[in-house]
Amino acid sequence: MKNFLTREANLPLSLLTLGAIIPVVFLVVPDFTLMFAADLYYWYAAFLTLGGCIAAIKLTFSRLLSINPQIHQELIFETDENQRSAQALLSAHAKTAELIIMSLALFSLILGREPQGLADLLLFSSLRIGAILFILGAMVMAITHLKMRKL
Amino acid sequence: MLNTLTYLIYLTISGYITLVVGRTLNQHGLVFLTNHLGGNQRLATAINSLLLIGYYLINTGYILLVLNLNTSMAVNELGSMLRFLSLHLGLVTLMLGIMHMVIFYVLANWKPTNVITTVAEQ
Repeated sequence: MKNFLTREANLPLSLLTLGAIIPVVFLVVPDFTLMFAADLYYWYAAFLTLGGCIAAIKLTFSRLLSINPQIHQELIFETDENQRSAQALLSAHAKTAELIIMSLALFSLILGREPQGLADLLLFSSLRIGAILFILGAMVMAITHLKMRKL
Repeated sequence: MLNTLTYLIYLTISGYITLVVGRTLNQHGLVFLTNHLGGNQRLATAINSLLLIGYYLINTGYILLVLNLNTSMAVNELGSMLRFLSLHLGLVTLMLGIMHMVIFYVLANWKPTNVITTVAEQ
């Protein structure tokens, strides 16, 4: 958690801050007030969803990659001949998976009805973040199961 | 307003249940896994933490998805709020129980022959 708060939280926290500040700035300008006020809930729901999804993805992959290197070798890699290249390969796979899941989170924002109130906002975000967490969990469980079978 | 309050109460209670159950299973599961892996504590800890990450992700995802079930149920009085909470919290605890049984079944039928041989050789 400490590691997450220092390094991995940069992107999700900056997204959430940006999402919270921009409407406040634009609501002050009279020309933009109507435009922003109409879709304010959707705006906040979108940023909350994106921030939540990215935080979950970053935290999961940082936890997966931060397992003790010797354990990694025993659990993840079949051979110890070239551990460094195997670790680089694993990081590359993790980045690819991160990107794919992030694109799913982004794509999910255009699906469904726009939220019209606070309760709708909660439902909108929870559905999308829940689906992403479920996918991540299934992926972690599948990897663990496959590796356990090889032991 | 009562809708939002109910959702927040549901999220808090189910999150707390998931956290407590996860911690308990993690503590007691480590002993079971270490015994299963022939005393290889490091490997048992690694598998245990992987299982814990998966458990938290799946259950948190499930809790958030279940929140979207039956959204037409209007929560406008205390009775409907209790009905909503009991239905949704019941589904969450049922899922926790099923997941615990499935993981236990898989681990009970798992025979890691290579690891036991390696430890025995040492």
